[in-house]
Amino acid sequence: MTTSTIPFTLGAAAAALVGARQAHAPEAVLVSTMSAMFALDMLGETARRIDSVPLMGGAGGLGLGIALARPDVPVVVLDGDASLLMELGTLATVTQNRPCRYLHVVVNNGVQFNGATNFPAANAGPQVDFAAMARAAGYARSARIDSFDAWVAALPGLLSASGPSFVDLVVQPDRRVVSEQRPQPILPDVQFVRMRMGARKLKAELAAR
Amino acid sequence: MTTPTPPSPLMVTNPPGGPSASALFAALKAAGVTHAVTVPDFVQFALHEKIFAADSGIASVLACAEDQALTTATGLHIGGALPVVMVQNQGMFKVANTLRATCLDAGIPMVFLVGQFGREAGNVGQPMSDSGRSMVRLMAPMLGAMGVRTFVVEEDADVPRVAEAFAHAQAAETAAVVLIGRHVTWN
Repeated sequence: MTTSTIPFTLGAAAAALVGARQAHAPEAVLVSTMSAMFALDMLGETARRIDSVPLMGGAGGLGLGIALARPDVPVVVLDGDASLLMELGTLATVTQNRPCRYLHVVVNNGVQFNGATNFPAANAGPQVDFAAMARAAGYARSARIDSFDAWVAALPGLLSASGPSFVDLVVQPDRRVVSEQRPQPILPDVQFVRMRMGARKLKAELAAR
Repeated sequence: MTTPTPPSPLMVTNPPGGPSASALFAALKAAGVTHAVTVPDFVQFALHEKIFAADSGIASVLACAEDQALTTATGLHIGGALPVVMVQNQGMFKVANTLRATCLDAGIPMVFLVGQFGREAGNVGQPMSDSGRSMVRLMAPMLGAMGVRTFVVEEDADVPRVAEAFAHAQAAETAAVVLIGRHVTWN
């Protein structure tokens, strides 16, 4: 099977990122939120990672702070489209503070509660051009990527680039699973303590290396 | 030669007093602060300028909104730095959910310097809970309802409370808010 036959889902995109991090920038920190967090969970990717949860809109700032404290460490932020829209000023906050190696990826699936109800997000229509907004805010490079092949090809360069980079990653929403016949479950305790655990673990990992 | 603009009759002279920028700056340096993350505050103009100075030794991190200031400061903490967050009371009202997520649930120790913007001259010397301005009167009760301790600084004699705030934030792994009740003076 060639890569061009792979549907461009968040899971496939996250798997490609995990592979590229291992190959090109194993020291990089991952900051994720919302759907990306669950995609990384499915891949078992826990090293040098923190999640902005339950906190929509916080991933960009978390990553910026880490990048400013540790300019020697690349930071990859896996943001959500609805999350970024909540704190759109983050784009200017990032560029104002000029992080050394900062890759900001917005997972653009156009929905809220991805894989649960897939409600339309505020950017669902008319289409919001995140890449253009990031470019206008002053990111050193900004691109819209909507295929698996293009994402895989771009990753090595993105992980080694200096300055703030931005990718509007257009992926398919995951299949809806919540309905009247299958209501949403109570969220597990771990969802409410994972940021605490992640902060302590990542702080120790960064102190060590 | 232009004629100086007369002061607006709507402006009220600030009563004498207030904590000095130099004393507050010294307290931040003594605490080991590396970064001041801020949406700048009217009450703390003089302290901002001292920190903005190229040789201050404290890096300024400007944010568009208070939530971004707090998440950025949280990242700085995780990366091994010692940030302080400088905002005004309106920003603290706005940042409540991010405060809940980072400092309360995630246990990130963080000290905030919060200017009591809007405090009327008639309330100076009186409890801030008696202020006629909602942003002043409700600030400490709102933080108290969230379980966040406040440390009031109105004069230089109160500045040692900044060190107390840092000690509390570290020991309890939570937020500590220094409420700046008077305009910071420029000396």
